[in-house]
Amino acid sequence: MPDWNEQIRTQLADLNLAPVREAEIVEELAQHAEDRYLELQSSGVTEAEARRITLDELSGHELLARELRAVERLDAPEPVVLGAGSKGRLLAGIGQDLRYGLRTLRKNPSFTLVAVLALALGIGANTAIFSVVNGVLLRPLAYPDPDRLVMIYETTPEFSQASVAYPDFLDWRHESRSFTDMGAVRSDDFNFTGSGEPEHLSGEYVSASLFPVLGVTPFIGRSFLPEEDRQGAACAVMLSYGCWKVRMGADPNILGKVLTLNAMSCAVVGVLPRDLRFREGAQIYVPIEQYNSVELRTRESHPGISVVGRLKPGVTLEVAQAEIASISNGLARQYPKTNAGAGARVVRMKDDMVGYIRPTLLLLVGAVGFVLIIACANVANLLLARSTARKREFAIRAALGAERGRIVRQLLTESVLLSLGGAIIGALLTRWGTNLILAAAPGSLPRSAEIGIDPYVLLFTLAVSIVTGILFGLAPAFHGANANP
Amino acid sequence: MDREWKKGSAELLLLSLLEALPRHGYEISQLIERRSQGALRFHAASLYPLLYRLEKRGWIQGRWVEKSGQRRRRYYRLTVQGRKVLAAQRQGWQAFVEAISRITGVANA
Repeated sequence: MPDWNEQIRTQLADLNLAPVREAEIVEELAQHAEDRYLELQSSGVTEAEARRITLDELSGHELLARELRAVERLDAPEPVVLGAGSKGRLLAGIGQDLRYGLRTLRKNPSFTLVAVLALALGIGANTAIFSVVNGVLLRPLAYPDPDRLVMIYETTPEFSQASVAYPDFLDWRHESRSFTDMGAVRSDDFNFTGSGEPEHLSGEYVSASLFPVLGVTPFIGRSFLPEEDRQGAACAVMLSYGCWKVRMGADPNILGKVLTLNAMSCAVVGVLPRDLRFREGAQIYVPIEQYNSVELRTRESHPGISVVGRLKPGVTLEVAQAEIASISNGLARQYPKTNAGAGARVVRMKDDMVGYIRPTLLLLVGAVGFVLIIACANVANLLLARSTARKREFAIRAALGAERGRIVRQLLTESVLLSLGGAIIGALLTRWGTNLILAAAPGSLPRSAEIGIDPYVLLFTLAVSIVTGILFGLAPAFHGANANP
Repeated sequence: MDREWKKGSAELLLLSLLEALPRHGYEISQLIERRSQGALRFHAASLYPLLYRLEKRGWIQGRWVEKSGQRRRRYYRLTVQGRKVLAAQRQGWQAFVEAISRITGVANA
């Protein structure tokens, strides 16, 4: 029997068809030629004559090549076959890789399931920890210009960071030039006598300047006026959003109502916003001058007062620190009995809140990083074993003309698909994971209310999963691509 | 028969032959020859390019089918779109033939 394949291939030679397409056409036409040849012979034509007629009909005076050239140039999508050349068709190629990758993974559901679950645990743990790090360490504090907010502490020969004596705060505030303003705050419990039994409310004594310094605008009403924060002034009170909502039944006419706190009658002047994250848990706020105790009036006591300052724009922490230190030195000279050896320390508010937890969180980041690396190693192992089993497939593709880079890319696509699958399940596990972290250490994590999944966390997960996919896919991919036909 | 005549009607012929069931190329060429009692003949050189053209247009779809004991063959079947095209071409052809008959006076009915 004549070799039809060879005859047909010669006719198609000038068309420059994609190798796979050409193979298909050759196969189909050869089949036709063979059928025709046999039919002619069975109708009594001689072998040589049958061969001549068949070949004539096949080429039709170059008709075949001419017609095929017109048809095959029509811009129609090529069938999805791996191994075809990929010159200048990167995007279409990636689409092919994705479809083929998905099909391959679907064909091995148990392998896919194991790999995706291992990666989901690794990526989920990392996302959970990152969402904590993001909420606690990275996200700026929820105040306007949060970087200019600082805490100012007194230092004494005994304590490197002591609470502030109220008269010293007043002198700092009066004399310093580095700050737009300072505010003081002191936690305390209040006896609230409402309609029923008297009860304890946790609250804060605050200077009238505190909320303006923080940049907090009340939800209802106003902040304290300077004249309300003076000795002997009538008592005023501000409520937290929660207190107003729950205890006061979200009364819209709350302003001007009088509450009895520590046997004082205090008129409500404002309600703070719901998202205030300053000293969470405080229900009421009273001007600090209402704190009726001698400790407020002496430089000897340090009655738990914290001082918040807002740096003037352009003033550095160091400048402010130097200025406060020099004011403190002046006070030490002026009041040697109480202030000898006293100094001051200025700390950024965010560092003050979360600085101590940073090493712990970074340690956790390292730990879950290792979990992910172990997961990667396991999945890489699975992939290696599988790429050995798939050697035949790669050899066939290489024989069909697939370049090595193309096979590597295909295998990397598969591994990135796996890790993206892991990332999706991992992201679902994250909420559960962060709850677990928070439950393990209730109340010990600052800013825990700000932990959640935001675009940064999702971006992190995406980046981790792509890097992960490439990381654990690289070795198996090169291993697979080295298959020799 | 005149080549131009054949060309104009070739698409209609192929689509009609695939209407009832999927067929491979050789079968199509045989059917055309047999049913036209030898008047029409489609050789591989013109048949396959036309099949590929119709396939690219989405009117027919080819699929390799393996039957036991035989080499695999590519069978073509009519797509939904192809079915619509066939109906339209059939109508057009009928109108054309009737118009020609009225003018030339060829009595065919």
